Amino acid sequence: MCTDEFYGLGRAEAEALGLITLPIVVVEHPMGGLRPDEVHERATQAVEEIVRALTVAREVLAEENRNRVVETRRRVRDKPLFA
Amino acid sequence: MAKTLHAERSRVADTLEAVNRLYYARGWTDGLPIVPPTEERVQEALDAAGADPEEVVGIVPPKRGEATMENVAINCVMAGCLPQYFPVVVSALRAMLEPQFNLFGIQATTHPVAPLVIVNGPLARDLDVNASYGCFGPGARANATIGRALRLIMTNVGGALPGKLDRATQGQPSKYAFCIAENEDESPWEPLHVERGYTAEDSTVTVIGVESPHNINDHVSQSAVGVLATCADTMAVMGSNPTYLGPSNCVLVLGPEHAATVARDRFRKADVKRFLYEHARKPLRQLRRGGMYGMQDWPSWWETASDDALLPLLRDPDDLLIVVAGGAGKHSAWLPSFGANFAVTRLVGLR
Repeated sequence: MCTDEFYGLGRAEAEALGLITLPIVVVEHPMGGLRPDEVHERATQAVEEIVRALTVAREVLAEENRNRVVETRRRVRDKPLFA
Repeated sequence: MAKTLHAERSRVADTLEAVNRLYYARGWTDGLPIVPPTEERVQEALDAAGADPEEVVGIVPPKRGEATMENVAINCVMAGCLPQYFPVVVSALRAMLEPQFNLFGIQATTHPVAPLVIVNGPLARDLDVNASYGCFGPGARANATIGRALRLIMTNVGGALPGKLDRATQGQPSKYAFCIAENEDESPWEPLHVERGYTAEDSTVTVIGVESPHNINDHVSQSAVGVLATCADTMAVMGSNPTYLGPSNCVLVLGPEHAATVARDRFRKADVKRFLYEHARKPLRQLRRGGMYGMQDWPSWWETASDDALLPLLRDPDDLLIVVAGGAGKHSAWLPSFGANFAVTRLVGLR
């Protein structure tokens, strides 16, 4: 689980460990500096994805995660690390 | 007989410009020109050390790239190392791969941390590793290229490219190269490696993940307590990881003149550490106002202290590494840690 900003990092680290299709639950960046009610809002938004990651068939999740792109507001100058 | 080298060969026009265009385009440089790692140059580095190119030095996080003697040698050549620097780079890399160094965290964090290499013993003099004027700055080939080779290994083998697997918010200039020797000749105390269990005749590398040097200017104090009070005031700040996290190793690099002033008052290294443990502190009231408050990793009973209680930066006096380096002048340097990492010392050698 990570913020959209760090999805690419989380995905690359998962791939480095051989977990190529690991489902990663994404919440909006940032998590630091939020008020408790904003944290609660982020958590509420993530519940559905967490339930899916834990209950949907592995093959279905693998297919979804294989080429998943998560948009971030910040431009990161790179290509996929393991391309 | 030399073993076969395995690295992929790139065919490119035989000019420095063409090689550098290709290497930069592939993300294999630090932005500065590299020395083309031709088979001859790589073989020369391996032969000088008697290294087996196929030997695995370790797995470099976060990409979990395999560092072999061959690709360590390739990065040494690219960085501009002389062949005789190769064992220093190998030893520093092995030290960085010890779990307590926490290379994974150091590579991927938003904090600017970079591995500092401190060379001790006779080899530091033999290789002309600068321990004197401007040791953290430019001008010495050993400092510049040993440090640079390690950075290139961290990016090319470990995959820690800025904005990719290295998520340092701003980074720091010492990510280009960060290597010094201790000025053992001008230190009033036993050198770092002797303090850490080696003999003065041993040659070692000590690696530690820290921030770039923060200057400590004291042109006034003529006593140990005076110099160290200035050090303590520079060390304990809100915007520093070890203030809130810990324990970890931090580094105080005393300039020889400051060290002499401190030693003149019969302070041993242990006394310096104890003094700074007692005096590098911030009141709990202030620590609660920002920094990493809320994410702090300190004993829970600290929270029961009064607002005026002074909380120590160092969790234990021995968490502080003291090194003497630099030339003449009244400057020292404070290098706070990443907050979750420890120094590792190894003998220089291929094993």
